[in-house]
Amino acid sequence: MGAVFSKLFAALIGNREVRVLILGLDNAGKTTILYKLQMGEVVTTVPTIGFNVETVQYKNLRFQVWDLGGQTSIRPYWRCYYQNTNAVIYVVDSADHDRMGISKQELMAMLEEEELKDAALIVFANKQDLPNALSCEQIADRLGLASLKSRQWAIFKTSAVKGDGLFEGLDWLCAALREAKN
Amino acid sequence: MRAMLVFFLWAVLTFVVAASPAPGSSSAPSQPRKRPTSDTPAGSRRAVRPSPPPAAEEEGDDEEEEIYGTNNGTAAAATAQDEERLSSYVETAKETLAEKRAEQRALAEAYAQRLRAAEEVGGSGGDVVDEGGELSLFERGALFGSLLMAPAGVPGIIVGGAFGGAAGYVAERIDQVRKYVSDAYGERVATEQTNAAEMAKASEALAALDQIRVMSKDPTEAAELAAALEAFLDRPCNRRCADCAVELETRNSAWAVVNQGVLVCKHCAACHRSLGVSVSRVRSVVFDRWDPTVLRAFLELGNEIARARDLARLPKGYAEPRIESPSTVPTAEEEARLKAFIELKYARLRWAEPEYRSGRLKELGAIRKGVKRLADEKVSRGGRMASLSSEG
Repeated sequence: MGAVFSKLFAALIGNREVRVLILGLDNAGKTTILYKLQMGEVVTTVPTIGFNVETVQYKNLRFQVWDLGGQTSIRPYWRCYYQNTNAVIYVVDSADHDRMGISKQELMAMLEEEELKDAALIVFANKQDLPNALSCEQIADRLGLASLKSRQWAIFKTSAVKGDGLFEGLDWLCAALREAKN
Repeated sequence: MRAMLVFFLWAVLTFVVAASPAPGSSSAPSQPRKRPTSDTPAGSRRAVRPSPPPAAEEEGDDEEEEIYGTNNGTAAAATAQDEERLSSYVETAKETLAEKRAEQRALAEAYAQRLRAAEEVGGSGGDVVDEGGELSLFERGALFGSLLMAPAGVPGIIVGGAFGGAAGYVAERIDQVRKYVSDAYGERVATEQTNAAEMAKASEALAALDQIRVMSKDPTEAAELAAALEAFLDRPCNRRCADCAVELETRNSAWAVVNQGVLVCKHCAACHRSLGVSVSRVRSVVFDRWDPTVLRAFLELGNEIARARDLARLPKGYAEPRIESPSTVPTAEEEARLKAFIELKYARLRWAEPEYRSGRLKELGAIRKGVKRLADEKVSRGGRMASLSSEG
């Protein structure tokens, strides 16, 4: 009986606000994505030391979006934010070919965390506006996304400065969350 | 609780008595129940009273006399009869009451048993509001209902018990839900508070970072390189932002554009970051760990050398963008100017030393072309990842 009620409660109130983390290497475009989602504006962002958090309302859902700094020394602090996370938006700088390997390492290390085992994963292949951007396929390949087991994931071509692909990602997330609930 | 029970039992009793046929009516003599046949049973009570005068007509028109009580003799007889009847009624009522009480007790017991069984099956254990010896809302409701409906007889008790029980059950569940809501809310608040405290701690720890870290397996190499970087950062030319000339007061306010070999403030770092990694690779001096190869190449340059290279053809008297102090947040105008200047300086190489410029532009073009070809090739070859998600 108790379990039923706590579930009912979670369905009604507890999960109303979807907790989303935006992660990725430094200069992938995490903060730009956050403010593009929240205000619809492109801001020139200074490197994030610590975090930014904003609430984004989209399709009857309230997303509490946490954007965490991506510098090497800040990455270990990501784990402080994992609890109760419904989804992770992993941002990749599509033009930064040299660091795809590091990006993959960080992604895989993060996905192994117990606290994130139920979190949906959206990969944003960002900076598609740059001429040397890798395609979605290439990035999915380099990150080894096909090897992911028992994880809801999707990859989207995005350009935070143009605003392309971001809301397609949120659409997918809405559907994934609905699916996960049932 | 007990007082309430007594009150309702009393109410039941009164009701039963009132509902029974009135004493003294024509039907009274025909009452089949233990009606005393002689005076003796009521003797004890009568002894207390003063002896009534002898009656002339004992069994005569007692009906009328009883009603009007005009005749002395008949009135006394009637009183005696009354008392007998009344005592018989009391006896009957007592019996009925005892029966009802037993019934109620049995019902309450049955409810309690059912509740216990339900608890065992449901496994809700401590969740039920029942604490210690107190009756649960469910039981209370059942008891109240059955007592309320008791005057209507056994069906009344059952129906009342059922409705009361149901109401009690609902109240209990509502209470439980409220408890869950407050628990869950409290838990969430506690989690958020812990998280906030942790984050504050993390932010403080980050703000205090000023250590240069070099990723090297060889500790002596790491120490040497770190020392070299310290010395490099202390050179006067490197103590000011290469683009806006603001003073880089602390280690953690300095950002290195590693491929350009310059040190900049965070606002200029923001502009560099927006140009893409083929133009500028920005790293923090302290928030990033240094790769030895990258660091060695970086140490070869610095703001002075880079300036001679990037601004070789800058017209005399050209007003470079400036930021007042490191804590000043540039206005939108200043920021736009800064951004345009940095783009011209590093991406278009407008003022760069000619030889370096042509080489660098070729390099940038090659990066673009090479990648384009690679991407096209991959796409035409592929199509295997038509659906790029876990569902595919």
